[in-house]
Amino acid sequence: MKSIAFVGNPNVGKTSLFNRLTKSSEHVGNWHGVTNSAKEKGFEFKGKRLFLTDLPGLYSLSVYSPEEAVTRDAVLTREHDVVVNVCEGDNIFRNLYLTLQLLEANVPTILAINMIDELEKKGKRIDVEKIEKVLGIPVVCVSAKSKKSSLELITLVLECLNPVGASTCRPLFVSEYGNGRQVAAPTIFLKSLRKETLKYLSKLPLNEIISIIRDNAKKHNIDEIFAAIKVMEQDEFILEKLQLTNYQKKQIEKFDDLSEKVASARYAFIDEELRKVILDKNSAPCQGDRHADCGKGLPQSLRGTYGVIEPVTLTHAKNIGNRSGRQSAASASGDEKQSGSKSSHSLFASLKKSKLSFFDKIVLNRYLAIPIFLLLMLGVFYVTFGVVGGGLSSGLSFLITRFLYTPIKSALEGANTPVWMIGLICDGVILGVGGVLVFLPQIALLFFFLALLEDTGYMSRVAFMMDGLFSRIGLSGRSCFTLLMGFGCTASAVTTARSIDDEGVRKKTALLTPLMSCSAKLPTFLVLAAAFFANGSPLIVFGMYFLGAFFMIVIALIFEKTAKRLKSSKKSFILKEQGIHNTLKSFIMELPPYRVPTIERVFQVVFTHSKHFIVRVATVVFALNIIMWVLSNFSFSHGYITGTQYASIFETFTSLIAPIFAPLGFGEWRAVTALLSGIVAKEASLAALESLGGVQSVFAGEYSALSALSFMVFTLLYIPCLASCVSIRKEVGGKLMAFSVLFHFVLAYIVSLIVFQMGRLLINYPWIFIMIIAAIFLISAGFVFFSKRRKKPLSQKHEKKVYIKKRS
Amino acid sequence: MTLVDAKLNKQYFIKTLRGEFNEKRRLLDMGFSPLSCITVCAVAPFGGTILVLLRGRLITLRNDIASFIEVGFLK
Repeated sequence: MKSIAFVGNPNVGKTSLFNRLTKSSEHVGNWHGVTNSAKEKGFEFKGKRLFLTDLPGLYSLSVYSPEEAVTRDAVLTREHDVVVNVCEGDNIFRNLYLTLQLLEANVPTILAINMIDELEKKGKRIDVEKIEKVLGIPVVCVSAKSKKSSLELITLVLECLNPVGASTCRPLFVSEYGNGRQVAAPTIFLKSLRKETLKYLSKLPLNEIISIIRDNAKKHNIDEIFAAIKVMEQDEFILEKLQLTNYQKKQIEKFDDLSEKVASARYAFIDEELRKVILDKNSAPCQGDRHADCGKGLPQSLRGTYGVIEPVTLTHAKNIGNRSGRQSAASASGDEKQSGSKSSHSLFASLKKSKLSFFDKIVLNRYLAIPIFLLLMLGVFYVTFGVVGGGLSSGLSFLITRFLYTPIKSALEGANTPVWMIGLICDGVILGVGGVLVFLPQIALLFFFLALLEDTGYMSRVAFMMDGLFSRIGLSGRSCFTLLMGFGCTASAVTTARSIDDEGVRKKTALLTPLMSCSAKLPTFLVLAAAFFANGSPLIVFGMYFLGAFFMIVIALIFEKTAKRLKSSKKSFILKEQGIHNTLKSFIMELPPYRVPTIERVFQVVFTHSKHFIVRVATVVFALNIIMWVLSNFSFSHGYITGTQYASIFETFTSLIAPIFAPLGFGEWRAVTALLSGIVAKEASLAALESLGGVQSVFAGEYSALSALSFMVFTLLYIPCLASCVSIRKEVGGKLMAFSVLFHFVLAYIVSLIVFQMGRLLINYPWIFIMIIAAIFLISAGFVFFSKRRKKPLSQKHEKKVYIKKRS
Repeated sequence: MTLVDAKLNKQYFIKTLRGEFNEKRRLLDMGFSPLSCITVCAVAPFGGTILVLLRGRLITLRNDIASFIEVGFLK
């Protein structure tokens, strides 16, 4: 069985292609770093079984985060028969940088130019033949949106894996994109032509380095050209693998810093050799099939350009630099007499688009960005909880009562079923499980909006605008993805934390994500808010979300100030184990262009999550609820005891711990039972409340509304569900997971205590309450004021002011 | 002059990169190669982070990294 791997820059659509080919529904989104682990799946193609692996995106084979290491290892160990390097048509020049590295490593590569439809919409096309000739690898244009072109890719891959023979250049298919180019079986594949193809290598002191490290490379079974290039780039992973002696290291140090030269050489090669590959759709008609010049090398017209080695852009920039009286820092010795007319091309090609789009100008405006974001979120929540979602779920609830609960109950009563059986089926199952199920519309809506947020590309903008704030509380803009996904499902959100470069930030983000209220907590909030706060129920629910986000920020700040272990970004054991030696403490990220979300994909997301929710309710919550119901309605000695004064099994048990929660306002054993089942799955919390007599009877008494509010706050903040705990352990380790469980419990306890006691104070003695609040406000304001004054020396303050002036 | 001091919406070109190997390599890998054209498009609401246009792509980075990038004024 042949195996194929998808490798490429982040956000070029590798997973979309993977999904299209294997008919799977892996998570995709219009932001960088969606995929963070290798996904594998087999599929049939023309009677052949193929194995496809989707790898996380990366910019270079020198990696910075665990998920990039997965890709690097897969590529370097040659796990796969062939690597398909997926590129983005619109951004091909930057993408080819990675392609060159793959070729340097002598990895069997096929170039797939994805999103070609976007480029064609702009009236552009790509000169595929030229790329093939320059790089010496097969190239194909695809679009993950079209099934035909995806299959074309596989046809080409198969042909490359099992070549019929170099001489037979039989046509394979007529490409859907690229003016109906006829693609023929490639003959230029997998020849070890690196030094001939990658001309720029001759500019680097490759042979000198190879002569130093040759024996080490051979001993450790690393390709010597690749090893030499990585040594030039000072990649610590390869350096450590080679185990150079001090003498060798000193010899290498004699060459001064080469990393810039290597990168510049690659970019110069791309700019020089490939700058004309993007053509207008109608200019220069496509050369058609490759029968004619198949395997015959390069046409005469191309050969001439190989003589030019230095980047022609250099000359021009130098001219400009000198003209404006500045000394150019460019150190390479270019051919300065190069004519300006030719050289200006690539520099000014990149100048064409140098401003933000109109939409981005508003959305990313320094003063409007945050208000727009908050308004948007408010709008999303209002639609989800308010008019639309609320209406739909009350309709569903009506249907369940009308067509399930009432007829079944009367039917069971008519059939002389035992009382406990009626109780179990009607109260335990229908009311409990059905009570959760009615919130399907809201959850579907929430995921619909999250999908929109992801797919349009706005989420990355949020990451950018929040980074300034997040950097102050020890998080990074990348945490935004994880935290926003936390509104959907904590367990799956935590796994996205893996793409965060900084170890400390990753740990903190994983610990803080459970504070973002997940969709499973939503039913509890909605029911409690509707039952006890009739007028302002959407506002109360939104308040819960806000409270979660608020505590996320506060706790992050506290961690930043206190927890040394979380603050430091020292290389941890896990990172070392995975061979990540390069760490970057700061935040650098690419923003994707805006894209119109495809209806197919949005519905797929909504469908997947709705299905997940229903399955979860029907299995975990259902089973748990039956157990809970039985334990809560039977006693050891008296059997079925509802309506009698005997204590049930669970009551005797939870009554022991219930008093702990008395100061929080819900020292009721049923509330505690609900919280306990919530640890398994948050949805089960509401199911338990509903089947044990409904929320009205659980939260009764003088402060019913207040204790319900306190319960909501506790639900918001307490121990993450089992699935989340598992993913926290997976991402940041068992110790931190244990810490997380303890920490979230303590936090929830303290905050609920404050809410309940303060609320009671407000009701009974409003004046004392106001005074306490004022005192707290004054003290904290004073603290902030003095701590700021103490910390910042004057010079720094001054510098900052100057900086701000310059910006504005 | 580093990218931190660059004015908004003006075009610069990258002269050279400073910093340790890690930062430098990451920048190079993301397309910050010497002599490419660069524009600062926006500053984040809370400051400290900038958005640049490089090779037709938007890249956001913090000032600490931006200070590694030496730029020259282009137009």
